[in-house]
Amino acid sequence: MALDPLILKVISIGLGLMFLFAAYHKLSDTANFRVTLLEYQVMPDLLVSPASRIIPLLELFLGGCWLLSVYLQGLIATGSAVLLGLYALAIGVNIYRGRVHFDCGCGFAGKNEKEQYLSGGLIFRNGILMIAALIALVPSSGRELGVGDYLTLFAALLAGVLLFGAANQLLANRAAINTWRNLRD
Amino acid sequence: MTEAVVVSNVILWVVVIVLGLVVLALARQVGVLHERVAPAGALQPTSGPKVGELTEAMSLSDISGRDITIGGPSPDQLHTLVMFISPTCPVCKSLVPTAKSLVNAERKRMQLVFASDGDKLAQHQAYARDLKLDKYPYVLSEKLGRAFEVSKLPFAVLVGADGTLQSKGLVNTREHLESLIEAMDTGIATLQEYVGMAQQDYERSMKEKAS
Repeated sequence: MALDPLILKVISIGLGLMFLFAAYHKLSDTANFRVTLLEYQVMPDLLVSPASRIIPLLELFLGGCWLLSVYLQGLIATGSAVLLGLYALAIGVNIYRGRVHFDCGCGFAGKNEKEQYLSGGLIFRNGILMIAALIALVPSSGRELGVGDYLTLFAALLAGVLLFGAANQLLANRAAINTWRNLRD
Repeated sequence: MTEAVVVSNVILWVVVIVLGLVVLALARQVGVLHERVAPAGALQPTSGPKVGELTEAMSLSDISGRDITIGGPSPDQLHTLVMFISPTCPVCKSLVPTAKSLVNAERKRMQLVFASDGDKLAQHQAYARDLKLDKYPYVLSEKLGRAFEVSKLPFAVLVGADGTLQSKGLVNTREHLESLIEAMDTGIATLQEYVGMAQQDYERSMKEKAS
């Protein structure tokens, strides 16, 4: 079954924007991102400093390729899914350890954004994004896109951004509510 | 036909985007609400017996004639939450069901006692019936109120199973009541003390990481 090029376009521009914002968020505050990486405690301390430089550049590269529809024979899609999977794994390991009260480092709006603590919801979110990236591996049909398709593309992206923002906000709310007293009934 | 599909598609997209905006706005509002409603503990008066002091056992009888002892070590190893209420206090009326539900959630280790004062027994009996307090002891004692120096209502006192005063304060919401139990569980008397400790902890860990 061939994938409609419109769906591929929606996925690639959506993921492209997401990776670029994520990279911008990390590059605009490198010191903070280094602290976040340390908090995760998933790599030797010696590697944290170089990793904190490489990860944003990798995201920048992935985002740029998605946005320009450069797929490198599926390498970009696979690479994105692997990166998102590694994030999910790091979050999962820390939830298992019970270390959840630090910022996940996955915000998108620069320094002013509130902290977002780790939760299972973030793993679910990354799972959805991984599926989206892998769908892009399906070969697409050669249908020519018309004006209507571009309008749909714009509307779908706008709706996607709004729902992504709402989902993030709800995750942050839930983390805040979880700090309240738990009742045993 | 095609035209109808296009129009319906455009309308549907507009609806989807507006709905997305509404969901985002709602989620943000919940977040803002949470920020605005900063946690607040029960207002603890400085007068009266201090937290940690042993309370004096007081033998009283409630409005239906049952004997009850308040204060001192508890024979059945239960903490006692004493709620001071009065038929003339409007906040008390709304807080009584809250206190009942909270203690019910903690019923394995806690019992609830209502206390008031005054000599119009019939009025208090009607009040207790009205609020369905028949399952709980309801004592009328000026002496009890004076022992804990209750000056404003609704006031709650939490006496530990060992008879020591665990926490006390003026309570207006469920959160205030919960703060009394939280204070007992954590051994931290006030929210201010807790925030101060958390702040120091955070600063220390940030310094360690930066160096």
